[in-house]
Order: sequence, then structure tokens, then C-alpha cells
Amino acid sequence: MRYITIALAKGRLAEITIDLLEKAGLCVDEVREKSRKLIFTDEVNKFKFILVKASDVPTYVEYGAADIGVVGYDTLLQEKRDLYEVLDLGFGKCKMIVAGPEKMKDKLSTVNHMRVASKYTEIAKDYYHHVKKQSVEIIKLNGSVELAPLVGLSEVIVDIVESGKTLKENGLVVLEEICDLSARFVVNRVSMKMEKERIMALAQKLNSLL
Amino acid sequence: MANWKLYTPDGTTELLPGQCAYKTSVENSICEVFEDFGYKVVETPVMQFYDAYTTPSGTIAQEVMYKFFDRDGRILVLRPDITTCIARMASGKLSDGIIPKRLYYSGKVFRYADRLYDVSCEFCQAGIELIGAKTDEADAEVISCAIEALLSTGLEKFQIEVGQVEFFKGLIAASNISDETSEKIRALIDKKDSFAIEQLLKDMDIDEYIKNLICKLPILFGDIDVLDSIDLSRLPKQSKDAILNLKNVYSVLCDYGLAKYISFDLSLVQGINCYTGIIFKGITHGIGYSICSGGRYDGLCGEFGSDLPAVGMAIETDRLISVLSRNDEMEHAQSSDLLIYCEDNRLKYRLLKSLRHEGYIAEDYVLGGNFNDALSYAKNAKIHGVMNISNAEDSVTIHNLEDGSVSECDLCELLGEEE
Repeated sequence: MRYITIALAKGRLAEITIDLLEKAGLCVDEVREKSRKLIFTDEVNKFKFILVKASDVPTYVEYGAADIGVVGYDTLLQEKRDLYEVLDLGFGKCKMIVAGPEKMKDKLSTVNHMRVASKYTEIAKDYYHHVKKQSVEIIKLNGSVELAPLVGLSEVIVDIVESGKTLKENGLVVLEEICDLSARFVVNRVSMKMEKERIMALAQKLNSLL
Repeated sequence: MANWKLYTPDGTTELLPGQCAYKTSVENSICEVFEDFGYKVVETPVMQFYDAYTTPSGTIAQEVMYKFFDRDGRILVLRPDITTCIARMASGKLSDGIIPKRLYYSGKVFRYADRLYDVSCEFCQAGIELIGAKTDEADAEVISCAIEALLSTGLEKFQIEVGQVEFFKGLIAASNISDETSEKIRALIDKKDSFAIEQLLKDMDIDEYIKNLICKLPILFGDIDVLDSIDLSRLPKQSKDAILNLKNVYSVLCDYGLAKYISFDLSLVQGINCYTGIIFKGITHGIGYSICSGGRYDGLCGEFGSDLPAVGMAIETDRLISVLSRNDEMEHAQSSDLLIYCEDNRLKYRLLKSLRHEGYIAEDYVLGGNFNDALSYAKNAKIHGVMNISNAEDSVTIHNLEDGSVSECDLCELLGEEE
């Protein structure tokens, strides 16, 4: 039997996913061991697990280097890879939002040249081009995005919000909601067909556990 | 200013002798199958007018086309596909009333990668177009030709997954769904996101059976049972005809003994502006993308003046080769059989010609050194033997570099002449 490879996004998402996969009957002992290994194997069910950076999960899956991936919807929207998004796993829930100072609330549609700072440039671009139909300048940042409106780098930010605590502490408010986010179970387009039985069985098992 | 003279442009690649020979051999075996099926080779210019690709039946987004201008300021593109050119050819220059037309091609197409880091912008495709026939047999012929062509390259384990875009179009038409929503649904089906489709359709006033089918579309793939699971009596005519077409094509392919390569996927809904019937993709282990794709496009020829039905497919030669060469070692370029060292030009050329005529790959030594130089070059270049005709008039020394032996041979005999 061929191994089926699952790419997991390093961090908290991977931990929740590993628990879920265990409940679904996979042997995840090797992944749990704290080691520096990058590939872990379940010899009983013939599965392999790889731990990669979240934004790389869709890439591994699109190219078929991994058959399955578990990754946040934000990463899928940002990376725009050609995959099957088979299941919404429901955990890791948060929202993609536009935030800024309170006073921006009434100015959103009247600002002539709006600057938008974000880690999620593709999501910001899609939102302003296709939903708001507005031309904006998008500024790519890699962290502490909340800072941008405070120091005058941008008018608003596009970012993920879970509790809203960081925004509040920095005097920012949610101005618009873009979409809901959660962890997704994604599958390579070819693997889905070549390994239909095993992949669909796992998907159904996971679905029944949600 | 940066100087790029040492590089090829992004998304392009060079093929070195071994790789290129391998690619040519794969292309040749594919084209031989096309020829055997009665397809005639054609060639189209690499540059085309932009207008040819922006008809309502076109599916290529303007963002992916390489554009430039001719002297009169008209917009040109590097051809992003070849099917469109052939549809025009069949509708114009070849429209002599004799149908069907069977045409094939093998060449490069160009598309900007959707993303920054994508590998290729230049793709090799070998494909066929069967123009003028709108029957299940025509659909089956194109699929069988794809299978035979893939088999001829030595690929063993692969699947052709077959869908029918009219099935989806029929369900949508029967449900009074707006164009915008139907495009949303199409995109979700293409991603197999059942949950989001359910959410979208939840509150819509649609026949329950049809609504349920649209929601289930993402998982309607697998063997022939998938088609049998559908209650034809509850389908709109367009969708019902689509399923009947698939069943008939499958039965033809069963008769051809090719059923084992076929699976179905009713959620294949890409390029629905262009495709008007059956649609299929070839997939295999070891590569995350399809290695061939095709389908029926009855509207395209009409865009160029003749309302002809058509079905065709293209094999993505580069992708196929990447799978084949991962399966077995890439062949090295073939070494020459013989190197000729001879100071008498007239004699040398007669000898080379005679050897080449006999089927040997025979090289001339052109570096101007002495015999030992020639010998050492031959060893490095892995040439199988060297012929030395420098010091005897009618006798030749043959140095066999594979076993190290040296033998004498009669020159006249080599030249095939009577003494």
C-alpha cells in the first residue's frame, strides 16, 4: 500500500489536528515525541505526517508532495493554490477583518487614496478589488500590523481577529468583516482520485467527529 | 543595470542533449499514435492576434496571455493554446465540406504563471482535434486516442477521469439561479467545498432532488456506479442527455477494452464557457497535476465562421516527461559509433558517407590535432570506436574503445567497392 502524506501547519493547529487524527484511528505517537524529525510515520495505517510552515501547506498539497493538508482558511485565501477544500474542520475559528481608528468609520468610502497594511496582501487585494470595488494601496507587513495606523503608515489594516484584545489595547476597532476563518481539510486534485477510498474514509471519519 | 545574458527568462527552460532526445522520442511515439488514428499534422504561428482568443467561447483570461504589438499597433499574443488556431483553420481554409476533419499538432504554448514563483510559462502540448462529428463514438475516439498515446510512451498506471459540463449547466438552468450565483457555485464545486454550497443553496427555492444533487456534486466521482446512482427521470433534459452521453461513451470504451482506464467526475466544471459536453483529464501517480485534458467544444468553430461540432484533447508533454523520467532513469544522449581520423578529405568524406548510409553515427575529427588527440577525444566523448586512415592507402586501423582491441580492415570493403 502506498503511503498517504498529510501536511500539518506547525503550531497550535497541528496539535489540535493530531488529537483529531488520533480519534479518527491513526497512530500519531511518533508525531507526539518531541524530536527534530520532519517526517513521521504511521506504519499500521500507512500514513506519513510532515510538519511545515502554515503558508507552505497549500504548496505541498498542490504539487502533490503531500496528499492532504490541514491549514487555516486564511492561508488558503492568501496562497490561492489549486486544491480541493473538502472539509471545514470547525476549529481555529476567527475572522478576517478590516480595522482602523474609530474615526475611519465614516470615511471608508470617501478616502481618495487609502493605504491598507496587511500580512494577507492577496486577501486584502481580493476584498478591495472584487467586493469593495475600490483602488487602494496595499502595504505588505510581516508582523505587528496593528502598529501601521498608529504611526501613519496606513489608514486601515486587514488582519485576523480572535478576541479583539490586541486591537482594543491599541485603540483600533473592527470596521468591516471580510470573512469567517477556520481550519480546512484540503486534498490534492490527483490524490483525491487515485486514493479515493482511503482519503474519503478519513474525511468522513473526521466529519463524524466534529 | 543587471545583465541577464547568462539566464533564460523566468518560466522557461533549456533541454540538454540527453533530455531533448528523450523528449523527442516521447513526442514521436505520441504523434505516431495520432497518425495511426488518421490525424493529420498541422502547424500554426506562435504569434496570433489577441482577438482570436477573446471570443465568447474563449476561456483564457487576458492576464495570462503574453501580449505585444505588430507594426500597425494591433495586439498580438504568444499563442496560449493551439485548439483555437485549429478551430479557425477548420472553419476557414479547410472548410471543403468533407467532414470529419482529424488534425493534430505538437508545439509550445505560452501562459504567464498565475503566481510569482510558478515554474513554467512555456508548455509543450501534443494534441488532436476531431472536427465535424457530434457522436458518442467521436467522444470515445478522442479518449481512446489519449489512452493509446499515453500507453505508447510507456506510462502504465493512469486514469482518465470523465465529466460532462452539460450536466451542471442543466441543473443550474432548471433552478433559475442567477449567473453570478451559478459562477460562485461552479467555483465551489471545482474546489469540492460541499459545505459552502449547502450554505449558499440553503434558502433557495429549488427542486429538492436537484438541490441535493448540486450539493452532492463534489463527491459525485468514482466508477460507473456514480452515474447509475442518479435518477434520470428527475433530471432536466439537458442533464439527462449529459448522463446518457457519458454512459454511451463508456459503453463504447468498454467495447474497446479500455474501461479500466476510465473513472467519472461530474464535478469537472472548469472552462465551461468553452466546453459544451464531455470533458476529461488524465492523471497519474507522482505528479499533482493532470497530464492531459480535453473535451467537446461545439461553439468554438462557430466563432470563426463554420458552425462545426468538435472534440479534442492535448497531452501536456513536459508534465508527462517529468513523470516518465522519474519512473525510469532519463536516457543519456546517444554516443556516436565512430570517429574518423583521415588526412585525405576526399577519402574521408566518401568513408563517412558510406558509414552513415549503413546506419552508423559517424563523426569527423575536426580539431586538427594528431591521431592521439583524436583518440583521447573519442575516449572522453564515449565514442565507441575510432578509424585511423592516416598512414595506409587501402588499409584502415579500427580502435575499438569498448574492448580496447585494434584491428585492421580493408578500405575498399568499407567503402563497399569492388577492388
